[in-house]
This record gives sequence, C-alpha cells and structure tokens, in this order.
Amino acid sequence: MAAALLVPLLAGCSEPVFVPEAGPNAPGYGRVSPPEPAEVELVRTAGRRELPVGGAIDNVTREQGVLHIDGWARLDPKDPIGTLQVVLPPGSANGARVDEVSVAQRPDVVSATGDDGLVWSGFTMSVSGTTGTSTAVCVVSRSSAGAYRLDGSDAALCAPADRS
Amino acid sequence: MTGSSVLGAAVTSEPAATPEPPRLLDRVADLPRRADAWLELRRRLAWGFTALLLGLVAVVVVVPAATGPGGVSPVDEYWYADALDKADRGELSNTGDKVDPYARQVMACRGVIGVNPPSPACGAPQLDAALPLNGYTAADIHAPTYFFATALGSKVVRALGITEDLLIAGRLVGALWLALGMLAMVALGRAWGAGWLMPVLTAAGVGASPLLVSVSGYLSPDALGLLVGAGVLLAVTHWMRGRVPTALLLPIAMLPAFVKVPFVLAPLFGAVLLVVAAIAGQATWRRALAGSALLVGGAGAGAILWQLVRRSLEVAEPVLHPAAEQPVSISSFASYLGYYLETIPSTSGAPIPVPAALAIAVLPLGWLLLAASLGGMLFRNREDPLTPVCWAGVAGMVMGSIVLSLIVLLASGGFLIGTPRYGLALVPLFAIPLMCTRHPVAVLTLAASAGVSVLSHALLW
Repeated sequence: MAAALLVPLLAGCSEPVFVPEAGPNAPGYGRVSPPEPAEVELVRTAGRRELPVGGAIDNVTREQGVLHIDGWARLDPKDPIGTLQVVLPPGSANGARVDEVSVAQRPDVVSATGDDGLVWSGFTMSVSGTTGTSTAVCVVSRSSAGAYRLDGSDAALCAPADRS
Repeated sequence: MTGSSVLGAAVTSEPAATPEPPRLLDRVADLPRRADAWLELRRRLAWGFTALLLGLVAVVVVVPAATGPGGVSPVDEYWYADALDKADRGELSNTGDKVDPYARQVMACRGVIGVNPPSPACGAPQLDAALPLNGYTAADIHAPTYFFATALGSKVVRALGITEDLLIAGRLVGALWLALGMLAMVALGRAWGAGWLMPVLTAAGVGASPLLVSVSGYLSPDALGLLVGAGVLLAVTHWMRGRVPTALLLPIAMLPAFVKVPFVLAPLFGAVLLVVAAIAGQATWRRALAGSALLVGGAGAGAILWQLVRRSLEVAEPVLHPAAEQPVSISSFASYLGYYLETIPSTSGAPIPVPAALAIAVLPLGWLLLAASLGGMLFRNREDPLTPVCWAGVAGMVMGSIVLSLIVLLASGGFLIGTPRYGLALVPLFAIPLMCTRHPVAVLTLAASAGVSVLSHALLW
C-alpha cells in the first residue's frame, strides 16, 4: 500500500527517478571497440641496445610447426597501439609468417600494476612455417610507451646485435 | 452509622478507599496489551495498518540499497543480473549458457562491491577469459521462479518511469518481496496466538536487518526466503488445525525447491515441528507421521524434480564451482553444528554497505529471538502449544546447516555450503516464540531495536 502511494509520486516525474552511475542506461555510456591488435614483425635481432624488461610472455606452445605465443606488452592504450617484434631461433624462421594476431583484455595486469592503460595489453599470436622443436622466442614491444623486452624471452635471442 | 448484613451481624460501612492511580511505569508496561486489545477489536483496520507500516519499512530499507552508488553485490549478483536480463526476454538461464552482454557491461562498468572497482574497459566487449567461470552462468542452479517474477515486476517499475535500468528496477522489486515476507511472518505469528504489536515489531526488525538488506536490496533469489518460509509454515500450522487438506501438504512442500533449493529447510523443519508435537502429546502420532512424511517426501521430490528439469534443459556440461572440489569429511559437517544461530539477522554475510547504527540496533533482536526459542525449549511445559515450535526452531538453528549440506552432497556429490544466509527460510520459525511473547520488557526492547534499525535506513535517503 505504501509503495502504491509512492509510485504515482515517483512516476509523475518526466525523467527517470533513479539513474545508474555507470554502465548501461547511465549518462554518457557508450559501446567502445577494442583497439586493433599490435603489428607483428618477424626480425632477426632484437636491436642494438639492451632493452628494459616490460610485459611478459605467458605461454609458448608449438603444434605442427605453428608457434602460439600469448602474453601482455607495454603498448599504447589506443590505436595504433604499437609493434611487437618476434625473434626466432636461427634457422627456424625460414618461411615463417605471422598468421593470426589478436588483442586481449588483461584485468589481472591492471590489478597487478595499477595502470588502467594496460587493460588491452594482452595479445595472442600464431606464427606458422617454423621448423625445429624449440619454443624459445624473444619478443620486443615498441610504441610511444617505449621499447621493452618481454619477461620470459630467451636471453640469447634478445642479446643486442653487436654482442650476438 | 451501622447497618445489618444478611446474616444479622453488625457491619460498619465505610466509604470505599480511592484506588491509587497506576504508576507511569505500569501504564507504559500495559500499553502493548491495550494496543493489542484495541487492534483485536478492529482486525481489518489492524491488517490495513500492518500492511501500510510494513510496506513503508520495505521501501525505506530497499530503496537506498537498490539505488545507491557502488557496484554489484559480491553475492553472485552479476550472474543474477544476467538471469534477470534473460528472463526479461523470456529466456531461461540453462546450464552451459554464457552470460550476455548486459550483465558483462554492468559488472565491468560498476564493479563488484568490496572486490573489483569499475574497469577501464567499460563499454568494450568483455571477453570470456576476463570473466568468472570463463563467461558461463552460475545462475542455472536456481529455478527461474524468482527471475521471471522479478522481471515481471521490473517491467512495471520501468513502465512507470521510475528507472530505465533493468538492474535497478529488479532490485526495487525486492521491496515487494520483503513486504510480502514480513506480512506472511505476521500472519504466522497470529496463527500461533500472537497479538499484533509483537509480530509487527518482529517482522519490521527482521526486515530492517543487515541480512534482509543484503538479499532484498540486491538481486537474489533469497529475497523470497521470508515469504516462502513463512508461507510453508503457515500452511503446516493451518493443517495442524484441520483447515488445510492433507493432500495439499505435498505440493506445498515441493514448491520451495522451485524457488531455491535451500528453502526446502522450511518443510523439513515443519516436519520436525509435527514430530515434536506428537512427542509432546499435542498431536496423534498417526497424523503427525502422515504430515511429516508428506512434508519430507514433498521437499525431497521437489529438489530431485528440479535437478531433473535442470539437467533436461542444459546446453553443455555444468561448470564445476571451485568450492565443489573441496574434500568431504565428518569434521566438515561437524563445523556446521549450530551454524544457523548466525542466520538470526545480525550479520549480512556479504560486504555490502549497511548503516553503522544498524549493526548495533539489530543486536537486541538477535538476543530476543534466541532467548524466546531457547527459553521456551527449556521452560515451557509439554502442554504449552508453543513448545514444539521452540524445539523445532532450536533444532533448525543447530542442525539446519548440516541437513542442507547433506542434501547438497547427495544431489551434487561434494559441495558443502558455508553461509548462514541459507537458513533464511527458517527465520519465521525462529521468530514465532518471540512474536508470541507479551512481556513488556521484550516489547519495549524490540520496539527500540526495530525503530532504530528502520531509522538508520531512513537516514540514508
């Protein structure tokens, strides 16, 4: 009965009485598209300089000549987010090509680092046409956020060019 | 002056002594009795006042929680929001279903109270890997009754323009469930011989407690716990008086499982009530055992039937809840002895915001509930009609969690439940002895407790 008394009062307002503070039906809310994946290059060396560690390789698996690499990298939060350079073991990269790259949300990285800009820092990629059995790789990220060597990269493959 | 009595003896007549006016304390102590007597002569008016008052309490309690700032409740409200969203479109939440975009966005954009702040990815597609249970729903374990009923109510709320948001609208419907639950409690107390004041005060105190805020102000099938528990026990009570046909006990006992499985505790401890009544000589063994068998059988049949229905609707294998992998042992069950003593509404079991004064104001309610049941068990005699209620209530407090754990173990093979909230359907049973109390100290204490509890919510407006 009390609710029935209140309802006409509340419903008489032309605007909704209760509006969420965020999310669907909140003022200013709109759908946002994820950024385009990073550009991926297969390179012979990681460059001439020793790079600081930033980001991480979470997993590298090999399946019938296809390397699957996923992890997260310190790239720009918005398009274009930057480039990932992948160094493969010598002799295994002849004929290799990047098949698939996708961007992934990493709320765990945001929680761990406190950096909201890393929410789309995740990536997965597939590199086909590789030979051998090694899963050693070096992944380097380059963007306006800086150049970093991903943690978990093979140290030998990541050594600066003038030392290798 | 002298006169003669019938027996001839001389009698000296003196002016009658003027009675002393009652002391203020006596007058205050007598108020509840006088209020009850006045209302008893005006039952329709009494029910009208009761409905109005408890409706106001429900609105005062639910609206600040339902519409306040902060994210979704950590007590599975993300999944319940999805189930509500699906129900709003006429869809069920089946085992193996994925959570739809609305609930994903709500959780990402508003966060989870006490767990996650709003995500910077609000508005972007929320991928399965970033979600609990890899994006699968967990609301499939509950029957769709609450979600469809709340979706219907939320359509009315949105049609009236109170809000356009489904989550807020669904939460506001919780005021209706709470009001109906409190009214059912009053009806239950009255059926056991209570007056008016104590049942209303008890219901208001329970309704304003942190436990009921956590289930009524946020989406949760537990919002129907008071109503289902009180409703089943009311039916059992009327059956004991011969006003309900025996055959109806079976469907009544089956219904709770089709709202939420833990609610089967209401018919199960209704059966305990009947057995204790027979032990106390207040019912024949034949009738008590027949009623108990129907209640226990109905509860079991309802739980099994719901599982069968759920299995028939699944679209994929169920995703195992992490807690279901815990090993089962005797000590696991022993740890739940007396667990539902905490269901007595002094704790919410969830890190949802409650007014500071409420945590203190609700304590006397908990003490009075315990005292009325435990005291009744110890000091009422066998002939007292409330003795079986007190024994059944205490049995529920002590053994309820173990009984429910066994039910879930049989149904799912190892998942032990560890939250006092699941005893909610038994709160009306716990409350009957208190509702029937007429001691002025209890009345005034409860009035103060309930009053401050409700006021602490009102100050949030």
